[in-house]
Amino acid sequence: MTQTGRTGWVPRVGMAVLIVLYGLPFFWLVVTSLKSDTAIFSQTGLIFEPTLAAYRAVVNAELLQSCVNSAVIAAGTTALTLVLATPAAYALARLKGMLVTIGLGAAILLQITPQPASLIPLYRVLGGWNLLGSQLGVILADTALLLPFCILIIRPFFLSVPQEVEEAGLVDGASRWRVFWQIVLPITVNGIATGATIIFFIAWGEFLYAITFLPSPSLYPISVLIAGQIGMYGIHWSNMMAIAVMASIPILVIYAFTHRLLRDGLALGSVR
Amino acid sequence: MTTAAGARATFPAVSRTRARLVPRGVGLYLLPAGLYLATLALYPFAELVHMSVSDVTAENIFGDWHFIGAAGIQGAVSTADFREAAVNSLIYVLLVVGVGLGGGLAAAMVLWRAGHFAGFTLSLMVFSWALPGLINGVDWRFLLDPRGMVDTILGVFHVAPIYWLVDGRLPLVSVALVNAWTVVPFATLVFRAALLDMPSEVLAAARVDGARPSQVLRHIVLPLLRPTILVLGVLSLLYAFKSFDFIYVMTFGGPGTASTTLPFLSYRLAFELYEYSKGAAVALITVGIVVFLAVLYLRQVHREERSA
Repeated sequence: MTQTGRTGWVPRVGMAVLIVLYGLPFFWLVVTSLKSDTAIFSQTGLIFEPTLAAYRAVVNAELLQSCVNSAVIAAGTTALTLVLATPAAYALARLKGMLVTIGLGAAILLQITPQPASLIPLYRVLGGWNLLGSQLGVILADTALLLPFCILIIRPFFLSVPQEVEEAGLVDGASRWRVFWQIVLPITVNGIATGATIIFFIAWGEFLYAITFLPSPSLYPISVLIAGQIGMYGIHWSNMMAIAVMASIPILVIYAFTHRLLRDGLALGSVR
Repeated sequence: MTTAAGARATFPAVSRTRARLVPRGVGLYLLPAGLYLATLALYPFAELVHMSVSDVTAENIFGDWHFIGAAGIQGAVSTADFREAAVNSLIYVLLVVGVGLGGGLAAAMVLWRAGHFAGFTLSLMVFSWALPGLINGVDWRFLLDPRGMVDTILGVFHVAPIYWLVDGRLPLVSVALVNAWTVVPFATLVFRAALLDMPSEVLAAARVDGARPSQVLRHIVLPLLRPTILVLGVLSLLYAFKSFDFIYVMTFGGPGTASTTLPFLSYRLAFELYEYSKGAAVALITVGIVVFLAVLYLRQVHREERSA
């Protein structure tokens, strides 16, 4: 930190490039959603008459319903994933030997399986259990998809808890469960929050399971409203961008609270 | 630390209790996730294997399957579509890993010792990583339209419109670059953490000895970052190989099959052509390739750790 003293021009230019590269696309998304259909390609610059026409066109009962559906699917997936992943990640951080190798190996194998590879058989498996066409089915599938990832994110946080802290509790006569619940979890709350945030984001944006398993538009999450229009000929861009902006708002709000957590938590998980 | 060690030395009985308590009981904590994944991930995976050696179409997907053996897998591999998708996957993965890691390292260097604004820049970048691929894909699909932002900006410099998502191999490259754009923030985070962990005395010493910044980078920083580069390389390779959302949203594998990678081919076979067996076979081979690469990597890491 003390070596260079003043920041040179290279980092400054580099930082400006990064800000443009990462600020402009999302900015342009918002700007486009505020343009009229005729202005969208004719007034390509930033000088245009802003209008909320696109929002007026897309905000209706169907869209609001899809936001509720998204919230149900994303929150349900996050809750179920955490309930399953947290104890498993703890066990994989404390155990030694074969079980850990098998457990981590299975988590990594499932984590690297492309989604279509699980989509194809899940279609039959869920169908066999009469879960196709319900949001519960999508939640179950999303959880199966994200659970291995969540375990891999949270485990390093448990690894960083000194075992002596737990031993003190155990020696004092607390049960293993109480030690986990009252001593370990409060220390690792950052890791669990990191995992929860990432799982919620991915579940919010997941569309492949939802578009394949859900039969009726009234059940669609907002991600399917976006993905469903994409194949159509001649995309209605300003409406599409308005929906995309609305779908980004929950992410933006959560991110505003958790960005420091993610910044530190993600680096921890992958370096160790 | 000291209390526990002291207790162990003074009371041998306690240390025996500890040895028993720590490993046992914890295994049960694996059970819920294990059972869940066995039912909803491993069982479907077994069904995938079963499907790839059976004759499954839209008619009998929920009925009985007729066993055809390895013929199904052979049939899926020997097509021109498979070869094209394999080549596309290779190009895609190389671009995502190369640009993702290169960009991440460059960005981390830029943000390494930059002041207050670095935190803001990093948060802005990670937001792009946090946004679902669906939204980033839709956004970039619009930006890369011949009348979109990128060509408009290029037009200022009198560059004729480029058909990013239409012309020849360009769509595959464009989608891979957008995918890399979302990998860069993650790589930046990890590289930055590694750079901040670096012993500053070593760097200071090199500079005192008169090393130029490029020499410091080549002979000190990069060698110290080697483990990080390896881990990140593998993570992004596995991630890129299974990438699906961006292709689905930006090109749907097209035009034609020009940007169809292996995961996308398996999706198209199963859900566009209802050739479930072939789709399953391609998916299985894709998983096989990824596992092969992962094992290869782990062996390499193992060997390096031994020789180190």
